[in-house]
Amino acid sequence: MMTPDAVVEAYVSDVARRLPRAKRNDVALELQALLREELQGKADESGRATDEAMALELVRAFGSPEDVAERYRPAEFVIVPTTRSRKFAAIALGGVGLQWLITLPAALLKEPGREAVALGGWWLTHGMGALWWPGFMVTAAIVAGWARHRWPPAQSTTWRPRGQDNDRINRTLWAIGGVAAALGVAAVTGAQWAFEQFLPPQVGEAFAFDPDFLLLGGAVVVAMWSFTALSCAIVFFEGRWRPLTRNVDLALSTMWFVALTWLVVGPRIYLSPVTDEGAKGWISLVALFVLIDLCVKIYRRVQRPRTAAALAAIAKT
Amino acid sequence: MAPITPPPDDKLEQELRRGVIVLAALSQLAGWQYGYSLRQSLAARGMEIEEGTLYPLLRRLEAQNLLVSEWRIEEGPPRRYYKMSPAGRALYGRLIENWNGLVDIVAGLVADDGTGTKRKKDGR
Repeated sequence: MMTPDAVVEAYVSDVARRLPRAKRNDVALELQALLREELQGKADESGRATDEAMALELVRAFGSPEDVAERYRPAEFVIVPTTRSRKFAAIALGGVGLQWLITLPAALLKEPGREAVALGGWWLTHGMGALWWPGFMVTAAIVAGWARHRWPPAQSTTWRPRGQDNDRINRTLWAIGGVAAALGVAAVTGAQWAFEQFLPPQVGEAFAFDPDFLLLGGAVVVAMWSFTALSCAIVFFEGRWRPLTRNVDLALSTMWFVALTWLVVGPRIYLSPVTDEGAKGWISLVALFVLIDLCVKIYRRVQRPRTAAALAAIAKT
Repeated sequence: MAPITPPPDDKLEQELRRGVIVLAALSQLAGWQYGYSLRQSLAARGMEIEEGTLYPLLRRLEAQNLLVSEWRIEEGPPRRYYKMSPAGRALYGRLIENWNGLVDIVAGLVADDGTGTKRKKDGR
């Protein structure tokens, strides 16, 4: 059995511990005085003395301590706006699912007949490791949410319609992308040579390609790079996408995903097992991004005509 | 297609009332008032506002520099008193203008709402 004052005090301290330290005591003092006065008001109204039940009824009607503390807190920044929470969850969980989809079969194929051991090993490495993706997304969302709160975006009065010409490309961005891709290719192919020139021989050896891989895998990768470079060069010089180049791009993306998945689950790339495993990990990540990009491209392709068809149907009626 | 479940009527009414709480509270804060006395004063004029809504609101309005406050120890326990700041008075003036405009517009709308029921402009 508690006294009415003790009920109010316990409630207020439950609210106060959820408040920012700077205003905790001040709000608690005010809330306590107000609730006591409310309680006395109720007692006067009902013509009986205050008791525990009356105090409990009052504070329960006031709200749960979490809700009340939230009402007292200043508005804080939103990590994921509600309009984007579904998409956020889908991308976060989808990313984990995709990584598992790529790494789990590879792990199981590596140790045939010892699936349980392979599964355990996979879970402790790539399985749990895949959770980096939601973690990364949440971290990025926190930074973005804080930035939006700190520097609120311009109001809708500054909104401008997006360009309707979705086929036009930004040549500057493409040029930067092209140079970056060329540097990436040079880094992968020339790593062994560069390390041998400037670093101890052991480092160069760690990046030596498996000769068997170079015969087939190397040829496949070089062919893919060449086709992609050619396709990108055509789009760059034309300055815009055409149906043909979009189809080629979609086909190349699909082929890249298949080729990269094969590289992950297929033959050894580097002679050094450590380098090989590390490289396959990075390739898995690239495959994941290629797949996401592919899904986005397909989604846009499916989405665009549907909108146009719906508009046409409305126009007819 | 999933059926659309309408929200309970009381929720919509609450939402309607929530929109005028700030205006109602400011209307009683030309002079010093503390939370409980403000609630009583509003209730006496037919504007019942839940204590769990009103008391935190006073703090939020103060944080937005629309109210000023001070602790006073007179008869009874220490109480935090609030009244409108100059910024609060300016906002109050704008809210009244908005409110009057809205009352006219909405009264005009509901007077001829297309249901065939002609209502008087005062809402009855």
